[in-house]
Amino acid sequence: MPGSKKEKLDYGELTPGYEFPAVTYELHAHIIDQYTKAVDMPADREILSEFIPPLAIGAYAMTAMGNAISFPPGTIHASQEFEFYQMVPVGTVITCRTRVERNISRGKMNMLVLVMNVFDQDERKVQSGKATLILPAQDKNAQGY
Amino acid sequence: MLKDISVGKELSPVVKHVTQEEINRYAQASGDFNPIHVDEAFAAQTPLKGTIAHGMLILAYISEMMLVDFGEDWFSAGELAVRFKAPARPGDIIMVSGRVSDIDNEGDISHVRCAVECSIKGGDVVIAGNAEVKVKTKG
Repeated sequence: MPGSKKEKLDYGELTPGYEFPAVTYELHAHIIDQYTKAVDMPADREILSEFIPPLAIGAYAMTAMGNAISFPPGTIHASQEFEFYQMVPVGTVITCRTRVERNISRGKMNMLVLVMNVFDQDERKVQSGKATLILPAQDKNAQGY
Repeated sequence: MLKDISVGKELSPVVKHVTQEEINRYAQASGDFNPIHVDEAFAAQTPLKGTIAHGMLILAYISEMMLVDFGEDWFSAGELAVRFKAPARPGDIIMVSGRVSDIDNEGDISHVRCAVECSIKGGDVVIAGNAEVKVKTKG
């Protein structure tokens, strides 16, 4: 699962079209179990023993992206879109590819739009998404996360 | 599962109680340890004056509502487009609701569009938007 600490990119340097290095991970049963417990999803749903909740995939894709960029305190997740293309069995190895669609500076705020595509091990697209983030203008002395 | 899908039909409501423990569990599960969610001392110093739930955690409640009413169709052919309008905080009770807003039939597939919302009981709308699911109507 995403969570590794690598050197992060400064969001101010991101230009439209920039593609982040792809992130690949295997969604084991215990990872999905941890997710369904965290979101308080009733465990008695049969489908959850076989297939990954699509928002779990989305969440891991978002976190992988978050691990690549240094977001300043005050970053707001303003909107989110997702499209799911097929059921994804538990144990699938997924690859998340994210690119910058827009990065606009407006006064004291920046708007960053990221497009994510998620593929399975057979390179079939299983999900796409678009996240819009509002970030405060950069303060070089601020500590990001 | 939703019976007799028609425009105006209400989806099965979901009610959730947000706790800091649950937010911490979600941070652990997702790997998103942004201090605004998990560090109460840090969050108290921000304009939000305290921790808030991950938007994706609250969004998962909408996905649960869609799963309840549309089953596998939601997992295999669902779409979501939402705005995060206000934060949810520990202690909030989240009311998740939805209503079928449009149905577009195309052969043996119905595109069912729903207006969806999460709101704090007696308070702000946290998430609002639309969900769409392709439902097989024959065979």
